[in-house]
Amino acid sequence: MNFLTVMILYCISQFKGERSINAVFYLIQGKKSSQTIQDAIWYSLSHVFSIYPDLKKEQFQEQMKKLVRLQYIILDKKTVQITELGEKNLRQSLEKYPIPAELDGWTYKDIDQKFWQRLSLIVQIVSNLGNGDSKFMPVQRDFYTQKWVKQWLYTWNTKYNKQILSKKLYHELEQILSQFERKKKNPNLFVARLSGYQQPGLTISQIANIYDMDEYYYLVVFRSIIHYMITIISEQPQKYPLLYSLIKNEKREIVLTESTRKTLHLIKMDKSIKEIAKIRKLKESTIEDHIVEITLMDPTFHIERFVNPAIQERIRTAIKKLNTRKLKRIKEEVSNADYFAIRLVLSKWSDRK
Amino acid sequence: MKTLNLEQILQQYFSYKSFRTGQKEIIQSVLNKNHTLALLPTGTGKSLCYQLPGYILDGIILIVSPLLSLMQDQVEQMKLIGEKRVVAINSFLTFEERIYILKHIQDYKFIYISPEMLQNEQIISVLKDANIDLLVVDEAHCISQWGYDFRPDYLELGIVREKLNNPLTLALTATAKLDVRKDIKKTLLIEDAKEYIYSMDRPNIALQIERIQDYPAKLNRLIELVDQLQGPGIIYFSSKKKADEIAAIINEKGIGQAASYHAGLEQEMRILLQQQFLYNHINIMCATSAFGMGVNKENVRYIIHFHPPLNIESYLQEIGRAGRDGKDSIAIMLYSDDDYFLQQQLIEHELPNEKHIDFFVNLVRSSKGNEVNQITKYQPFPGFTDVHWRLLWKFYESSNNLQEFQMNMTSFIQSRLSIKKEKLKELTNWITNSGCRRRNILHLFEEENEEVENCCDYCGIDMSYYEKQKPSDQGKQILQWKDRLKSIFSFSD
Ligand SMILES: [Zn+2]
Repeated sequence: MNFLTVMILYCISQFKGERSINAVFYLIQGKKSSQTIQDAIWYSLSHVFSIYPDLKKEQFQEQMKKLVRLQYIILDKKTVQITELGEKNLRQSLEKYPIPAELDGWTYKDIDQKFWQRLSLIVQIVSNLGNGDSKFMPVQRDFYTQKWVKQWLYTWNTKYNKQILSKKLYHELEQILSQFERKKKNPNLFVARLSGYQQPGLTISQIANIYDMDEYYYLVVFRSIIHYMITIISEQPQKYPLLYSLIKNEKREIVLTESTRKTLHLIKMDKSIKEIAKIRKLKESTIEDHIVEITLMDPTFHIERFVNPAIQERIRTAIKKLNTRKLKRIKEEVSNADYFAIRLVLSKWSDRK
Repeated sequence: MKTLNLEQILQQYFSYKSFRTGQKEIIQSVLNKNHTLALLPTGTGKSLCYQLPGYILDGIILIVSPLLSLMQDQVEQMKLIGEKRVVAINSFLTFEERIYILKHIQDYKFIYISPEMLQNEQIISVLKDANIDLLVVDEAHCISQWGYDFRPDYLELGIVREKLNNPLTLALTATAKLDVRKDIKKTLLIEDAKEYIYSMDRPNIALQIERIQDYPAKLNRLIELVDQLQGPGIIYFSSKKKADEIAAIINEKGIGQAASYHAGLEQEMRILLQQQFLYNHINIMCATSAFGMGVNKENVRYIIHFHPPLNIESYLQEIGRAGRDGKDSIAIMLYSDDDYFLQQQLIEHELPNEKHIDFFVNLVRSSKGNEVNQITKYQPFPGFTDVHWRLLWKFYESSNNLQEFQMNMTSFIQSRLSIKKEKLKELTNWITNSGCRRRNILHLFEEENEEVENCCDYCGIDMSYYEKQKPSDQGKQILQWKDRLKSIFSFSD
């Protein structure tokens, strides 16, 4: 079982037989629809959101066939369920290859790639220029990355000369990776990919080979290191000014649909759901959908004005007890809560990891 | 025209002391404003023939090139020599990038462009006003329907050239027989072009063919060769799976540092592998034909074909990646009779089949009058290659209705298949015929060969020339992360 299979099985297990195979695929690939985002948050899978963005449908289907053949999962028309055998193998695999705690796919979905592309290109340029070589093959060819990095170097060069800039960048990387190492992790899994003057980095498969991992696992580990770095950098921007400047303008923006944004505007003006529906000439249920979307997207959004805290607490207890995200079953347990309240609580209080 | 010291310009911009065979003559022909058709074999520096004039002519050098990945490599290589005014216009660009580039067209000196982009009226109208001093048609043999790599988009280059007000034109190719050369001049409307034809022969590359019984025997022989031969070397495969497998075997046996290179790798990995090969961190590249173009490594000592290519021209291009430094090198082809069937399959795979056509027709029907057409045009559906997709669109757009499209497409495929099969036959005959390999291959290009010391397996090869001088280092050490980081940031003063 390679780690892609493990991750698919993991999602299926977390979904508790309540979601379809398409939901698994979209989550792993990182589809930015409110349904997929809701799945990620309700079922505590946001850390593996978009874990393999390049996954092809055919590849995925192959894996599903394999899992069925191994009798690790059972497919029925609408949903997919993990078997006991599957659960046992999943536990064993995750013991040997745990999902890194630093992984946070949902939070860093757009930033991680940019961070790596920029950093790897900057390191390569600094290393080569430092050795008097301006004729080298850039490891990143993306037009915008190259343009961005050029601007970055230009800006910092007005402050520091190239020796100092290089020393400072080295120092920041050394610091953050040492801190990572103190957590009993191996920074070489990151450093080996960097390229410098006449020393090209290793490829994904070369590193996976050296450390005896399968490539899919290495990809996850690598990404988790990037996530770790971004987390630390964002917490201590004054300690890592150069690294922080790679991402500081990349807002983890809260992407709302146009219609939801209009609703949010009215909520902020203290309008009730009824009023908003009237103003916008929409059904109340549509406005409720908007509010669920906002709750999913924005962790700072308060739901108290829609569900009182006592009911929230009762719903949370019921969710824990029943271990389900099926609205109907939860409602049977908490009879005085409506579906809207349950959806809000699931969106607000699901353990995000 | 004032006399120019071309050597000085060569030294200043390219850091070479002297020209290689043919380069200077071709450059002079261009500078004397002659339309020029030049045939220079692979590995002898074709691109210099238009890059250097760029530093003398005032206007833009527009280079048409059919191979997208090669185009990217060439752009990066020009940047390497310090030329920032270089850009590639192809379907990899996003809409915004394309707009940006077109708006700033005068900022560029060297513009690479794919032939299908020249079908775009907006691009043509920008280029028309852009002062193009030299139009370069690279891989010009793609124009000919008789060639091994015909691209219908190339047929329209004559019209494109007229639209651009008939600029001075340089057609370049590494392999072209007489009929193909005629086609090139006719299509480009440069019948008065001066021709510079240089020998296809690379006398420092010995040619060896080994007939081998079956796959296991082939594998054993390959391992033996890799163990014996002095690297760096490239081993060509027709499938990426085999390339992967055998790279792993070589590494496992510790007889070399191998990696596998194919079009399925993402770009960042491809760049890293090219660089590792360039700096001798790996010395054996197990590759598909995707590797080699644009890789300027001088000291490749051997090329092994684990699977044969599909025609003589590709074979010459691939072995041409050996011995660019002029030192003794060897090309070895391991051939078993089964290979023929594999090759036939590959040929059929290169062109769209009936299923592809049907699928395409259905797609067009279901999106009739819809904008979907434009969106999907540059992105092949799964199961289609770039070449398939481009061909289908090309024929679709030039047909009046779907029925006509199906007919034209099918008859085109039929004729391409039969030409490609003939080309394969030519290669197979060369492999199975007796007599001097070099003489036989040059004969196909209406050339006589000169005598060479280590010529071919028929004339006799002294293998001691190509054997390992010293045992290869046993795998490289994995550095500690701190050491690696330090060495990346360490400066020589
Ligand atoms: Zn001979």
